This record gives sequence, structure tokens and C-alpha cells, in this order.
Amino acid sequence: MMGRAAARRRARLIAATASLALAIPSVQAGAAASAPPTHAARASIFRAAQGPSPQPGVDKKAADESEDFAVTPLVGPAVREFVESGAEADRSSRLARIVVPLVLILLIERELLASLGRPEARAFRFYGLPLIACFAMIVVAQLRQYVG
Amino acid sequence: MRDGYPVEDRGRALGPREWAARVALGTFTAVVVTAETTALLVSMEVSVACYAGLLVALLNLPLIVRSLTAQERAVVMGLALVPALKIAAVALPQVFIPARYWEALPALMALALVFALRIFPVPSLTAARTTWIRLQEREQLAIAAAGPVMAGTAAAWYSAVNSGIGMPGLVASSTSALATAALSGVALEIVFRGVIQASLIPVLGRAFGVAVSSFLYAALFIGSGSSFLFVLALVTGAVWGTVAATARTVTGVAVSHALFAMFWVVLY
Repeated sequence: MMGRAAARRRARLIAATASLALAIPSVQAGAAASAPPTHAARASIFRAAQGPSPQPGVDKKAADESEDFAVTPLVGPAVREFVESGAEADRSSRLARIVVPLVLILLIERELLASLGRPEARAFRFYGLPLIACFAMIVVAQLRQYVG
Repeated sequence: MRDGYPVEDRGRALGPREWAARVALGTFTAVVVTAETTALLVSMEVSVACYAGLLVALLNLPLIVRSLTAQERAVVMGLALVPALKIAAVALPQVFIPARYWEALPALMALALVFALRIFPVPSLTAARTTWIRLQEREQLAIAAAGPVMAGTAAAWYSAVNSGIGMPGLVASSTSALATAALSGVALEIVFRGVIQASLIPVLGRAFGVAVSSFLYAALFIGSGSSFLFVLALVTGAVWGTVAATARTVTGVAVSHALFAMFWVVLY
């Protein structure tokens, strides 16, 4: 097991790396020329891009179903709207401001707990897995922007 | 405990510890409802931020409150699946993946997470482990067969309360849509009835455990913006929760939910 002094040194190193990584999205956020549009605004843009709404009596059932139902409740209409609205890179960078710090927090805590020999470190690792997958998706979205 | 599913502890007077647990659970539920409502009224990012804060708070709770029992730690770790699932449901889907596939991603991630927790058991989570490979029993098959019946009943109910919708009819559905519906049904049952409810019952009692897990399950549907779906999820969640608590396994309800979701897709 790692000694306490070594654990402290490791923690300081991780904290310094994390603060640097956390600063990047903050700088990006500060450099943004305008605030991101609200959910309602994005929804209206998305609806406008979809064309005129169905006429009364014309395929009303289909319109109602698209409002209420998705194949899975895990990805409901609000999530679908969020994913399909706006620019891919813009949306992923906004999500990165939440997901990246969260992944870093979980990984740092996991390292600290593991260095102290605490069994809770495993839980942090498991809950970090889906977030790392989310981070990978965000990275791919950003790469697609650079590749064009 | 029989077959991995915990048995409730009846007839116990509530002490300060139990009340504290209920207040904490109420706070958790309030945050989930707030995050779901925020997704509708404010923005999806704020909702994800709420869930991120909730996830960090839940994972750190056993580190801060050192006096938690193994069962209480299991409750906390089980409840942490809810924000993890919701964050994955928003951040995993991307437009460069076909919609049918990205709809299935959060369910796959939830299943992978639960199985990872089972394969590499965390000491505090072992108390919440359940059994679901018991399909040979007749009771499980009967529960599973009730899924399409419930879906048909729900569809008729929806048509009755909403005059704008006609009676549902059978429509041809793609294989990927049916598979996604079934997968998400199984994932939701394993997470909510298999882990969350199984850990809540020994701490809160059977009735309260089923009620809380059903409400949490229904709270995920607030983001859909449909009051009908919320009520439907509350009712079906209570039915499946009661059945799972009685049968002490989630096999039947997982298959039942999968058939329910598939039949619902076929009806609409």
C-alpha cells in the first residue's frame, strides 16, 4: 500500500493536472462570443428547420405520437430534440463542460481512494465507465468537426 | 433473503435513523424531479448538471457519513445508477450514429454497468444483488405474458382519455425498433427493480420501497412532457415492483416489460 506522503504527492500531481484540464473548457466558455441559445429557442429553430407543422386533421395521430412516444423512454422526445438540434460540435462542447469535469472528479477520487486502500474506489471506477464512454462520443464529435 | 431478493422487515417502529434515510431519499427524489422538469423548462445542459452534482454527492455520501450500514450503502450506490443512466442518455447519442442505434446505447450502458457491479462486487453492493435467471418457473412465464395485455390495456386507456388519438392498430415495425424497445425495458427493470428496489426494501420496508422505486422510475418520464406517460409509468412500475418483490426475482418483470414495450411499438 502506498504511504500517506506518497499519496499526498500523487494527489497534488493529479490536482494540478485536473485544474489545468478544467481550465480549458472554462477558457473556451469565456471566449464564446455569445451565450448558447436556450432550450426553447433551439426547439423553435429545430421546428422551423422541420418545415410547417401538420395541418389540422392531416396525419394528426402521427404528429401526436411523435410528441408523446419514443421507442425507449431513456431517450425521450426532449433528448431527441436536443441531439438533433443545433450544430454537432457546439452541442458536444456544451456537454463537455459538464462531462469532462465530472469524469476528472470521479477519476481523481478513485485514485485517491485506491491509494488509501479504500474499497469504495471500485464504485467510482464503475460509475466512471459510462462517463468515459460519453467523453469518447464527445471527442469523436469534435474530431468530426476538425476533419470536416 | 431468498434467492437473492431481500425480504422486508415488518412491524418495526421508525427510529431517527430511518427518518433520516427517508428525508435523504425525499431530497434525492426532489433533485431528480427538478432535473427532469429543468430539461423541459430551462435547458438540457442544466438538467445534466443537476444529475452530475447528484452523482458526485451520492458517490461521496458513504465517504462522508461513515456510520452507514452495508445495506444503506447499497441503497446509495443503487440510486447513483439513476443520474449515471440519465447523463449517459443525453451525452451518448450523437447525430452521426443512426437514431435506432443511439436510442439503444443508454440501455446497453446501463446493463453493462449493472453486470460490472455484479461481476466485481463492491462490498456495499452485495446486499442488493438479485437473481433473474429463473425463467423455467411458471409464475415467471405468467408475469411475462401479462406484459402485452398491460400494453393493450394502456393503449385503450390512452385512446379513451385522449380524443385526438384513435384506437391503436397493429402496424409493421422494424426489427431494430423492437429490439431497442425490448432492450430498454430489460435495462430499466434490472436497474429499478433489480438494484434500486432490492436495496430499498430492507431499509424502508416493502410498501415504501416499491412506492419510492416506482416513483423514481416514473420521474424519468417527466422529461417526455406527457402526463399520460408519467401516470402510466407510475402504475406499471408499481405493478412490476410489487410482482418482483413478491416473486423475489426480476426475470418475469424484465421479460414482461420487454414484451410490453415491443407490443406498444407495434400498436403505434
